[in-house]
Amino acid sequence: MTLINCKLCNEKISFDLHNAGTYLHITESGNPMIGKLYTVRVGHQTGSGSLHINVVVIDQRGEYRAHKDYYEDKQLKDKAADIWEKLIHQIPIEIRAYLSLANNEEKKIISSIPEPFTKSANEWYDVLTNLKNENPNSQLLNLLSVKWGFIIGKGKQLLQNTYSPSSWSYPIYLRLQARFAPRPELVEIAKNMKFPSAPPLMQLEESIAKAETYLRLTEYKLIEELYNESLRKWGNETSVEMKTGLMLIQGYYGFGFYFLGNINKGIKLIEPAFNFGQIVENREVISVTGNFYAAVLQSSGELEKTLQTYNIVLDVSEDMGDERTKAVISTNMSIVESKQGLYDQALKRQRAILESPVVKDEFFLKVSLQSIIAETLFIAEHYDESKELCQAILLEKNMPTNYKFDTLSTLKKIAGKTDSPELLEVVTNNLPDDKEFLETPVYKIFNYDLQAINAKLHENWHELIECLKNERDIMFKNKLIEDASDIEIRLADGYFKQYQKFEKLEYLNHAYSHLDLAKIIAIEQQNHLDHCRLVMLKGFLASESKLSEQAETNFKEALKIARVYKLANLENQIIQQLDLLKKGSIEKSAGSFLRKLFKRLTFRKVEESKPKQKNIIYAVYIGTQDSTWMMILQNEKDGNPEYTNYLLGFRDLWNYLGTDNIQQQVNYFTVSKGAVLIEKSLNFQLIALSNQLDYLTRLTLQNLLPKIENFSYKNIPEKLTEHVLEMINSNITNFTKVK
Amino acid sequence: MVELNKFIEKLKSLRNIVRITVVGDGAVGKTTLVRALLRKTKNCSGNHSNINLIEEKEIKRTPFIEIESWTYKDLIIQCYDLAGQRIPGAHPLDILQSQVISSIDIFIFVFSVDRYKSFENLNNWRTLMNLNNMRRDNSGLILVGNKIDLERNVSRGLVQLIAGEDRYFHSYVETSATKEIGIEELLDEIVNVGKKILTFNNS
Repeated sequence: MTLINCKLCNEKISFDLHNAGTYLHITESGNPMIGKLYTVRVGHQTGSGSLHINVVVIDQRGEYRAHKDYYEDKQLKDKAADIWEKLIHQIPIEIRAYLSLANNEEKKIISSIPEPFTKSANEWYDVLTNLKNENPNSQLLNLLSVKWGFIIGKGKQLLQNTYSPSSWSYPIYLRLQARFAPRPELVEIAKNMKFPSAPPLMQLEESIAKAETYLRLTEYKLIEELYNESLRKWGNETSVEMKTGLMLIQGYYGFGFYFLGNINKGIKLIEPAFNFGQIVENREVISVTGNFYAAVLQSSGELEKTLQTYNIVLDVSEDMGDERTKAVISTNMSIVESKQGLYDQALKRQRAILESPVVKDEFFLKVSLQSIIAETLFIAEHYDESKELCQAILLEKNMPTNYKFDTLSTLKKIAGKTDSPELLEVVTNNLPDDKEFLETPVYKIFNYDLQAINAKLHENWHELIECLKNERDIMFKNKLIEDASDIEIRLADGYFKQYQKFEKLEYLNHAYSHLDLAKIIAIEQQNHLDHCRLVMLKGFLASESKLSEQAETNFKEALKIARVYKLANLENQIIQQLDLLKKGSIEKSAGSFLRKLFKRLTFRKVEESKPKQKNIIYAVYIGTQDSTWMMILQNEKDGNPEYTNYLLGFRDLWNYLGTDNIQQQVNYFTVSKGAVLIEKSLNFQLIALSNQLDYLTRLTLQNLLPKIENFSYKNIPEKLTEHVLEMINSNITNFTKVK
Repeated sequence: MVELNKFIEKLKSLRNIVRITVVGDGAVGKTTLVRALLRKTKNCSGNHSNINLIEEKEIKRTPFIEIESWTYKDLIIQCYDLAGQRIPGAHPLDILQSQVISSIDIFIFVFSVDRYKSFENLNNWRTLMNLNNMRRDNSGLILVGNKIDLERNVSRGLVQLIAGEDRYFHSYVETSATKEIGIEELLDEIVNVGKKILTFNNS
């Protein structure tokens, strides 16, 4: 039994360490210096009806050691502690940990929340917001309301309030700005945001906000530093709340790898964070890391698992009453379904979302969903329905240019696919009149594309080629390569038409060269179906041109791809073509197959380009075909003698092999160090070693040789060397000439 | 480095210099305590104008680190006054830890008897200064319970657990810096421990 004097009224109070009924609360305290102690909260009623609370420290024998605190509690009477205990078990788990930061006054305020505590997400938000408004000076009450609002999707509403940088809610405000209004200066604001004397939970909140801001503003190096620092600070913490915060940071860090093209590393970091979120049932972690996880899974082609993950996130947003997130997730799911070829299912889902009140109320959400539906209809080859919907969208008033442009893009594709001059006219008549937009490269590309379609409708192949080349130049200059595959295939089509018309071998070579570039894009995007079809297309091109040996080589290559990637339908088709080729009767059908393939591979929905690693060219060899002049260049930053020697060894072997048929057709190799790219012109040969096969690199190298050919002093070795080095340094990066 | 340290020790002994520092939580009265020590010593060589601080109703908190020195009973006492409110990375101990600590002879740990938390946190301060491996014969640890003019919330029984022969602190002194209670006793204790250290260093 411990006997103490109440610090408020000096009354003697007794309690028993071993009898929980004699005190309100007990926790273990102490440290190695003072030993194991207990902090006990003891309460006693006074004559005036209030409760005197004494917080005392006792040792293991129950001996009084110190007084930590004492206060009078007018509201927290007998049941106060019970209410508090009940409350901390029923307040949403995502904000529960913050209750430990409450002072007595705040505990009193929070305990005034009316029972029952089994409230919906929105009811909790209302209650917490009321508390916040009634107590504007409480950091904690402000944080509880803002954080909960943030979690349940009240972001836009919260952004309308003002937040002081010293407010505990400021990290949330920063995350909201990074989500809804990202701008570069947020990085500096994040760097300067510090809560050094705040409790560790708040410091963790600060780090989470920094992680999200850095991710959204693509500062991946800063996230890495932050992640490592957080691990150092809190990595050994065992409490669930600290671990939860760390997992969120890990999720942001992992998603950075997705953007850097390192999907596997991203999965390794995000997966445990997502699993942890599910184990502790923290809906914020599930929602954030689940979205990341679904994106990386989708990127790695695991569509089924992507849908399962989205389903979990969808359940969470439903549980939270977050209708907006629910609509967005559901839309993402429909896109995955349409990728799986489940068009009906995707359309059913999309139409259901369109009926939800949140989508009906939010104009932009509605318009972008309609645009997605039109696109799904287009992919599903329901061109008429898609066209109708697009035209209905165009009738909407006050449509922002980008939304309008998306719809016009779909209509343009339908026009190209169905060879419809009427639809082309609709597109032309509805072009935005936004002057700023008309100056953008995106618009210029679009406009050239319209002209190219028009040229095709009039069978003006020369103009088609010119328009597409102009389009490609702008695209290359601005690195806007989303439509690159489409342009390359249509260029190949145009050149082949020219070849058929004029029978100039030069046109056929151009057609092949453009199909090869399209092939590189398919390989880059791991689009095996396209890859196989493009090689087949080369086969048909050769058949139509009566180059049966080349056709056989192409079909055999396509067959190999079909077998490796289990493309059964294509495999059968290729076997049939090889059979016809053997019998000498392929020419009868090649033409129609060729048309079908060109049609199938052009005017399609542009796949989102997958994030990929930065491309690096380690070394370049350039020489004349007769080897009278040559130079070897090594990338100053990323190159090394090993790579350069490898390239030289490859060049010797390649030239030693001579110029047989195979060598004429092969212009790249994928090797253990990346890819070897080979380019040839009339007088020159260029071989480069790069870390990966990459469309833009290929195009850069292709553009170099004509410039070298056109150089006036190309026959003076010193001048040529100087010129080539200068050209490579300005077009690629800094290289050093290797002796 | 070892040779240099020996030389400094020798120099300190020859000049009868004892270096002390005062550590403890913010607002336990460390700065006020240093001022009171200065005020008590006649041959103070510190900033005299600062002594007036003690007259002020509100004592300002130490911004970073201040070094005061005074002579008392043949000893020159140099006092490193460290800021109490600890901000990780910003506290002088974080930045100057090895330099400051290695030159200190006597550590004065202060807690406020009216605030249990400041007593509980003494362990953090010990850990922060990594004193666990310190040799007892060439350094001293004095525990000060300040603000005894205020309500006592830390029992003597608890203090006795950690102060005394073969305990964490060699001795314990109770003070009220503002009322100048126990200051002379503390000065005597500093001299007592300081002389023992100097004798040891000379031997």
